[in-house]
Order: sequence, then C-alpha cells, then structure tokens
Amino acid sequence: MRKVITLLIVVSLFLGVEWVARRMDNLVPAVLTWDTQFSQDKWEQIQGLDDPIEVVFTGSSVAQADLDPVFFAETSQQFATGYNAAIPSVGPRVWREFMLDTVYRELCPALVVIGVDVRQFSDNQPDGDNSVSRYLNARGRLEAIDAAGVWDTAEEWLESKSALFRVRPRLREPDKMVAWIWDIGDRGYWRYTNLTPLGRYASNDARTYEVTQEGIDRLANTAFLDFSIGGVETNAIRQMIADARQHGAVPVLVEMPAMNDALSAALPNGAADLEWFTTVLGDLAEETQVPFVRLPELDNEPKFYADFYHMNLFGIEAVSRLLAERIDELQLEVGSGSCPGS
Amino acid sequence: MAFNSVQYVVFLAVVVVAYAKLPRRGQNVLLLVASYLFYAVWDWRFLSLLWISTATDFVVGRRMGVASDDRRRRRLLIISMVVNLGMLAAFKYFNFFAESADALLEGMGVVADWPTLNVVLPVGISFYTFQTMSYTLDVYWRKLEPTDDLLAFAVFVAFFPQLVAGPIERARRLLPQFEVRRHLAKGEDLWSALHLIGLGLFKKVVIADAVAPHVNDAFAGAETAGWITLLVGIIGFSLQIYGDFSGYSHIARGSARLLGVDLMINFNQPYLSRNISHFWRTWHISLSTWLRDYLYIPLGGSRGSGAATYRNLMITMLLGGLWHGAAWTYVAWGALHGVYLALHRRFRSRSRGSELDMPRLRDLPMVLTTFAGVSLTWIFFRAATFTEAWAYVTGIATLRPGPVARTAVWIVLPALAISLLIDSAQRVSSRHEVIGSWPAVIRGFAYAAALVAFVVFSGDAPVPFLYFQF
Repeated sequence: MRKVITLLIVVSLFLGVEWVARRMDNLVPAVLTWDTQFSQDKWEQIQGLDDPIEVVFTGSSVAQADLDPVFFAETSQQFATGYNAAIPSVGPRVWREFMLDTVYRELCPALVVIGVDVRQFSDNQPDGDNSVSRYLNARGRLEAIDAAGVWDTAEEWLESKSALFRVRPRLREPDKMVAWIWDIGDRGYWRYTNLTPLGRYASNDARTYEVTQEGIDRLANTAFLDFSIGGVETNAIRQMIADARQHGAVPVLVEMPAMNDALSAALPNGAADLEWFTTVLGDLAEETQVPFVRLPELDNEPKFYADFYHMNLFGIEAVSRLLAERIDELQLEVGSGSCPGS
Repeated sequence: MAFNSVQYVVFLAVVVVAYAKLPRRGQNVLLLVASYLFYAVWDWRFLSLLWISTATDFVVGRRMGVASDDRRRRRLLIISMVVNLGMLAAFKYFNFFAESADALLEGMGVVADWPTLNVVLPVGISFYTFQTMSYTLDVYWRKLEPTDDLLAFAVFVAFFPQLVAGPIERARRLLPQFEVRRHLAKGEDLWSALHLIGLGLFKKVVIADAVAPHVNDAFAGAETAGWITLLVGIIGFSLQIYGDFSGYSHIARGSARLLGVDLMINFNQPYLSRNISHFWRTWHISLSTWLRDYLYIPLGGSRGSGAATYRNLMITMLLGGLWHGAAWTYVAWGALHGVYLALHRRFRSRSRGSELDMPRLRDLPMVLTTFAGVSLTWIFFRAATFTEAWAYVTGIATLRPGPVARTAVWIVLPALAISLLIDSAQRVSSRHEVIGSWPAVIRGFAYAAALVAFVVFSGDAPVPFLYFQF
C-alpha cells in the first residue's frame, strides 16, 4: 500500500509539472538542439530559402554583425541576393563545418565571402577545441546532417511528446525564464539573426563606440591569451577556400575592419600581432590564389563601431557597401555555383 | 564507460543477470572479464599497466608470505613500490618534474631542456596503484595473510565499480569478499543499492553538472569578473566537486551492492564539518585513511615532538595534494590543508562530540568557517595556474566590482540548499540511502522532485567525472 501511495504521488506530481510546462511552452524560446542559437536559427532559415542565393557571407560575430546582404545587394552591380551564414563565438573550424553542413547542401552560391577577424583567428582560443566538438556533436546537427544515435532519437521522441522535456534547457536559466514569461527585459536573444536573407541585422544599430579598460583586459585574458596564428584555424580557412571551389563558388578572403588601436592594447605584442595577422592572411591568399580584400579606410573610425570590431548601423552600411564596391572592382568571373543535386 | 551513460546501465544489467547463477569462481571470472572490458572502453592499451600491477603485487605478496628473512621481505616490498610508484612516476609525474627542474635551472641561469614524454594519463592509475600497494604493505607488516587466489586478487585490483575513481579499498576488507560466493542483492539490500545509484546520479546530474557551466564561466573570468560572481563560482565548485565525486562513490557502492559486494563509505557529509579535522574524516575517506595508515603513521604520526607532528602533517598533505595531480596548484592545495590541520591541532579546544554528530545552531559559525576555508583551497585546486588562482582570490578579497552572473546565482544557491538538505537528512538518520525510510507521502514528493530535477538537468552529453583525471 505504501508503495502504491508513493507511486501515485510521483505520477500525479510529474503530470502536474508536465501540465505547467505545457502552459509555459509557448512563452519561452524554442529548445536549442544545435550548439548555438545562431547555428540552429540559420539552419532553419536556410531550409526555408526558396530563392537562389548568389553571395554567402561566412565568419564570426564580426561578419555576422557587419555584413548586411541588403546593403551589399543594393550596391553591387553584379550580385542581387545574399545570405549571412556567419556564426558568432566560434572559429574557422566551425565556420567550415557549418558551411559544409548547411550552405553547400541547400544553397548554390556563386560567391563565398570569408570575413576574418583577429579575435577568432587565434589558434589558442580558450574554448577552441570544445567549440568544434560541441558543434559536431550537437543533437540537432546530428539529426539533421548525420545519422542520429538511438539515444538521440529516443530523446527527440520524448521532446515531441513531453513539454517538460522540450523546455528543460530553458528551465536551467531561471532568471531568464522570468523575463520570457512576463515579457520584461531584453528579448533580443530571439532576434539576432537575419530573419530572411533580405532582412536587416539591427541589434547594434543604436550603439555608439565604447571600449573600456575592463573590455581590453577581458580580451587580453581570454581570446588573446597565448595568441598564436598560422595553425589549425588558418588551415581551416585554407580548406574553406578549397571547399568553395569544389562547390563551384568563387571564394574571397576579407580582413574585417576593426578599431585596431584599441585591439592592439589587448594583444600581447600590440600592433605587431595585427601585422602578423594581416601577413598570414595575405600569404594564405597568395598561396591559394584567392582575392584578398582589405578595407583600411574603415579602421579606427569610432563613428562606425559599437565596440572593438562590431559595427553600429552606420558601420554596417559602410562596410557592406564598400565591400560590394571592392568586389565589383575585382570583376570576378563567377559561375552559378554547384546546386545540390545538379 | 561512464557511470552516467546509458552504456553503463546496459553493461551493469547484463553483468548482474549473468552473475546470478554462477558459482564463486564463475562470478570472479565474469567480474574480471567485465572489469577489463569496462577499462578497455577507455583505452585497452593501459590494461597492461593493470596487469603489471596485479602480477607484481600478487607474486610479491606470495613470496613475502614464505620469506622469513626480514631483509628479503624488505627487498620484495621495494620491488612492489618501485613498480607501482614507477608507473605513476612515468605516466603521471615525469613531465611535471622534468618541467619543474627545467624552470628551476633556468632560474639559476642554466638551460637544461629535459625531455618530456608524450603520454596520456591512464585513467584510474592513482587509485588502483594505491590499492595494490596497500595489500603489499599490509602483508609486509603482517597485518594480512597473502592470498594464493590469483583470480580473486585480480578482481580485487580491477573490480569495475571502484576501478577508476575509488573508493581505494583495503585488501583486508575487499579481498575476502571475492573469496566466497556472493548473492545478488534482494529485498532491503536491492532497494538500498538502487537508492544509492539513484542518489549518486542525482548528485552528479542535478548538482555537479548543473553548476559546472557557471563554475567554468567564473574561472574563465577570474581576472575580470565581479566578486559576487567569483564567490558564487567557488561555492559552485565546492558543490560540483562534492556532488561529482560523492555521486560517483554512491554509484560505485550501489553497483557493488547489487553484486553482493560491500564497498566502504567514501564521503560522510563533509560540508557539515565543524573543523578541518572533521572535514578530513568525512571527505574522500578512503584516501585520507590511506594517507594516515601508510604515510602519516609510518612517518611517526603524532608520536614524536610537536614539530615532528607538524612536519608529518605537512608531508602527508603535500603528497596528498600531489596525488591529485601533477601541478604545483595541487601542491598548494595540499599545503593549505596541511597548514589548516596544523593550526587546528595547535589551537583546538576540547572537541564537542564526534564528526558524525549533526551540528547545532551554536556550531554554525564553525561550520561556515570550515566551509569557507575549504572553499578557499578549492580555488587553487580548480585554477589552471597560480596567476588565475591569485586573480580569483584577490577578486573576492578586494570586492572587485562587476556585473552579477544572475543565472549562476539562481542555479548555485538552490543547489547548495539541496545538497545541505540531503546531507542533513543523511546525518540525522545515519544512513546514506535515507529516502527509503521516509513515510510514503514524503517519499513520493521527494521521488517526484528528484525525477523532475533529473529530467531538467539531463539531456546534454554526459559530463565526465572530475576524479577520472586523477
């Protein structure tokens, strides 16, 4: 009898929690099954793109924030559509995997713009290897790209049946739950990707340039700690160039503009490290015979920046349009890309 | 194969089913094959080290048993120590000592550039080498008759529930259990075993893994984060390492109990300790008693002068720190504990009761002080470098301003409350599998809450147990 009572209480309470979870289900963001919200959102967006995409931008948060397909297409004489497939907070090794998993499977770009910034180019990123592993082993990716294992499939089934299983990652962020459910605070978390290839990224639009000593110290002690380039991440870009060509696209390497004076303060060897960065990129472009675009006129112009390297709305427009002009000047001979199934 | 994986559940179920009807020898053969398989899933190449340790101590033990000459017995003991400590030195400490010697010589203006070995640390090596050494030392001191059952001895060394992260069992306790036929757990024993496994998984998933990302963030921001974030981070790590390791020990004991084997208690609510001495009598008990019996007491223990006792304490704790890992930060962790124990010994007042008594309200300042002192040492244990540890300590000590990691606060403080609740319930009832004795209604609520929490905090890839790296 005691066991029956215990069992009844367990089942009743569990069902009660499930009922509450169902009420919350629509109030919180969808469950993250990829490694980041960006990769998940972009994978879903790419799935929904019907029109051909001529230009795809890839890179980190800098390329994600700065390169707007609308400004680019408005300015370009050669390209009318674009999609920003950049993934923040990860390095070229993950960009490459994401391009192979999504862009080259679903889209057939004629031009691939690889926007490289010094922050994500270091081989000794504190989370570098983990970020690759997290991306490759994310359940959402495994289900979408590779064959998911039995356990992943079982988990997906549970999430399809139970709201508690669906919302559990959100329940691990109790403070954000409050904001989501009562609609207070910053909900920009849901909105940071280009919602369509012609949509506009706008989370930095209102910000003006602000760099603090704390920000410099943080960068110096994380991303730029043991700063070293020319290894695995450079090789990943070399492979990205080969991948683009293999899929019938023309690759272009872009050194993303930045507030280099401020960045120098965070780099172990200051301006010398920035020169090293430019040299390595230039050498790679020469080795792989790929156009290398630099936009030095936008460097160190505070009116364009929200922080060290992410642009504000003025900067986004400036860099997107200037890049379009520079690429037009290259008079690249592009094909139609190699569409899946073609 | 981690305890918190589906593979382990399947593996354990298969072993239990196959084990039930076998005779004693068959049970040992099954356990040995299963244990080697369990180990080989990590890296089959290091099975050879396990075999070397097993064969060495079995042969040394047998020969010691028939040797009447003390010098010959001592030579045999040295062979065992050289083999076991040699393996540890080669695979765990060689690079550490080579690099430290390089740094020291460089400081003196000499460039030595010692070679380093490109080897990975064999999982569990610190645990099973200490376990086999305890057998040989006990035989040497004539506290134990050597066994002539190689199969039972091999199972004693490799028994999968405790092979890779303890408890570090003594041959006197564990070996006799493999020399008789065991019965699968039934009735109360079965419930107790399942409760231990469930409690261990709960502590691992709902406490340790839940706070882990926030701890990682706090240590990643050691140089820049605000003091509240750092404070919450170190409380989080205190919970993480406790939940992780005691959770592992619970699962190990529960798994062994299913197979009719009784493993020693490794943790007894250490964060309820009223002083550092109590803490060490309730934290990683199998290691602390090993260090006491095979290092501290042979060094002279507290039998000599005050200075000698403090020296013995410091040596024991420094080596205890080094046992955890080949880095100076672990040595610093051990040194801090040595200093704490020495200070406690010097200034202790008359003890009020045993370390297993439930603290009263008047004990709260001492419990909090002990927790704070232990948490301070965890900073050195967790930090990758002294620079990081020092930045962490100064960030808290100087009340460095900075934004508060709110999610961390919302996760770590409830985890602390749950952990204390479990420990208090265990301490009051003097049982680890406490929930089984509660009234049906309360038990139902507890099971449901645990189940919901387990669902919420599971689902990501299993996080490896922290002590596997030692």
